[in-house]
Amino acid sequence: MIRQMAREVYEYRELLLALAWRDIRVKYKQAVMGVMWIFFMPILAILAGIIIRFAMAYLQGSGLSWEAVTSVIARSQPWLIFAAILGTTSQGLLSGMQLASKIYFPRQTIPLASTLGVLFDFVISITAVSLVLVLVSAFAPVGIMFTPWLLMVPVLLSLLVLMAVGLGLVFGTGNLFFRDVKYIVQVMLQFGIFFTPVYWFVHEMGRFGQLMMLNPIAPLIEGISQCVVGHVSEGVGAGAVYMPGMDAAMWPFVIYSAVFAIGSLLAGMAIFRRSEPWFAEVM
Amino acid sequence: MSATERAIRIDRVWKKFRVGEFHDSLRDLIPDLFRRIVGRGVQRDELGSKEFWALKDVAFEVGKGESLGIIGPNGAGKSTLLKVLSRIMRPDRGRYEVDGRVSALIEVGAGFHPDLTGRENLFLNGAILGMKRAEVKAREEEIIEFSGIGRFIDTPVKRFSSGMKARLGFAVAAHLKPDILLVDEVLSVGDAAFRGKCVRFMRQLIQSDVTVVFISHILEQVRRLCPRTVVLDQGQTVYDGPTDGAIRKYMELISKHTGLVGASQAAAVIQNVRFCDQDDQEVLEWNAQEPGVVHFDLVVHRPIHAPHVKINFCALGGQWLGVANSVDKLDLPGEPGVYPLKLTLDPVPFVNGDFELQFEIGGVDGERGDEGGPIWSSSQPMVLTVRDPRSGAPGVRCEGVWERANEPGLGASLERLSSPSIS
Repeated sequence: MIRQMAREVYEYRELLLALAWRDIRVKYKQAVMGVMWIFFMPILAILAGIIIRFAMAYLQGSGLSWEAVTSVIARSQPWLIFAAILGTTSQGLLSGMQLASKIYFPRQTIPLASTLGVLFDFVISITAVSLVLVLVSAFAPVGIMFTPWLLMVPVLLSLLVLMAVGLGLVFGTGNLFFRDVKYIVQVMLQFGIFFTPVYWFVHEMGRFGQLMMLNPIAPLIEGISQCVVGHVSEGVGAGAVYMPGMDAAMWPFVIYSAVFAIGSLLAGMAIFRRSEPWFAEVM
Repeated sequence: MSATERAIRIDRVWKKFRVGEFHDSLRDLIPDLFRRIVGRGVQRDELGSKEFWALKDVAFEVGKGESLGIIGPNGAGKSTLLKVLSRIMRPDRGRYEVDGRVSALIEVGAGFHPDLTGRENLFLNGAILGMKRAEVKAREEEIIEFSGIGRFIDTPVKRFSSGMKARLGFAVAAHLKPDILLVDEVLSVGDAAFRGKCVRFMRQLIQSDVTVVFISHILEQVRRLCPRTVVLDQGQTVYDGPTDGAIRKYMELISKHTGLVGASQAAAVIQNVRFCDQDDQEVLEWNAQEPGVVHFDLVVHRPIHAPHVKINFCALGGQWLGVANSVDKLDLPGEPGVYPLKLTLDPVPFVNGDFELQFEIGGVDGERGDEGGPIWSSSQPMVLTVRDPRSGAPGVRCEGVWERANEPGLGASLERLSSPSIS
């Protein structure tokens, strides 16, 4: 199944690129800020995080730590990627299929093109955010540190993308048949951030931290933060600098996420493939 | 027909559709959904309670380079058949083979994005139709030229008129180089000039070695573009053969479906119009240097008093140019029957260009008396192309005898003609 789907896409690669390019082009047309939005979205997300962290620190009577700031920067990006891919692939399938009922091309080109369109933005914004992280680290006692753990970041990010694509296919296909699915996705994207360690961190949540880790995105985002940001110990032996790195206790959760990601991708592809013959009819 | 020269083979294709909504209760939905995903237990061969066959056992072949027309009443399954052939839909039963690069023109300008400019949409539409970017790039100027969009090409398509959109869409499609082209009704969009362009384009295609499957309700287009035609009715092939026979079959079906046989039918109609050269050979366009001949049949259903036939010649768009009227020139019989008629225009009154011909039968209906209007007039004008190898400009023939005159006084009258007192 995978090989056949890939071969079809390869045959229509020109169309894939044209559609992805259209998505990118259309997104910033008739917007005064244009392409600057690629940078504004992550900046807004990071600012929101910093405000929340500041409020939390104020309530605890302590100051805003550099560690919290760098961590929020590192965590907000993956969440944005996940939300954007899930949102566009699941919604974009419906509008794309209108075209597919008029002309033949491999249907999988549509979700793939919208994913590529989103990824284009994030390649740019992640580069920018990484630069910011490095800059922030220059001031912070502990910020981003260049350790071999950084190599884990692309792995975790890829898993996140695969999961988003897989879920996008499942929900997008569902949405073709039942428009209810659109609302489910909306709710997930609106409230999902409260159940994901983006603005708060798992180690602060005590017992509930473990519960949060059942959210398959949580281990990936937590993992990315741990791989990038070091921290300074507090309390007894305060001041000791811990290099970034994933806790040993994280591994089972990361593996759980990886299985979930691959599983949802395969399920998404299978459901997509199975219902493909009906696409032109339900449109 | 040997396998090597076959472009399309449709082998007993069946396709079913559902009436009404897909699911009307959760009780239907869940087991049905489960069956779909698992893919077992779905009886693709049988008809459910709310289903009907849109295509029933359709089978025919199309040879390489052939052009085949498909006609039939609304809902006969024409578009469904085209969607199956272009792989948009899968048949429930039966098989089909298509040999070559297929392009389907089901909607001109499919996939245009309103926010993108004409040029951007040109590339996008090209990719959607299966062209490589380099191919589009190579023909970019040619396509823009063909579309006639000119300096608006870099304006967002949402500010285009619908005619401009159609022209751009067709321009891209016209520059495709498919082996097999499937066309569904697209030639009936746009203004008259655009339709003329479409018809010319189709003729060029048909003369080349492209295989064309052409769906249209404009019977004259089908008749002039396709020697062979399939008639579909309620999902079934009811006729497959020469187009003249197909049109008769189609008219029969239409009158059967609408109950038009009898009193409400026009007393006479004109059918089977053919443009010919002076040797009565059917041609696609007239040569302005030679006489042009129009052959047609006057079919009288009910007696008519003083029947006469008028052929109106118009420019594209309907601007009336002149008329050829049979009154006082030919006595036509008014009794029921089929009368082949012939009009010779020597010389052809046009030089270069596309013209619209509209037919009319005048006279008094023996049954209903004089209703003041024509007994019958053609609803769709026919497009006629005239070529003059010596001149480039289109228009009406205005040739006379030129000579030097020696009578005096002519200068004075010319002066008077151009003076402002005559307005």
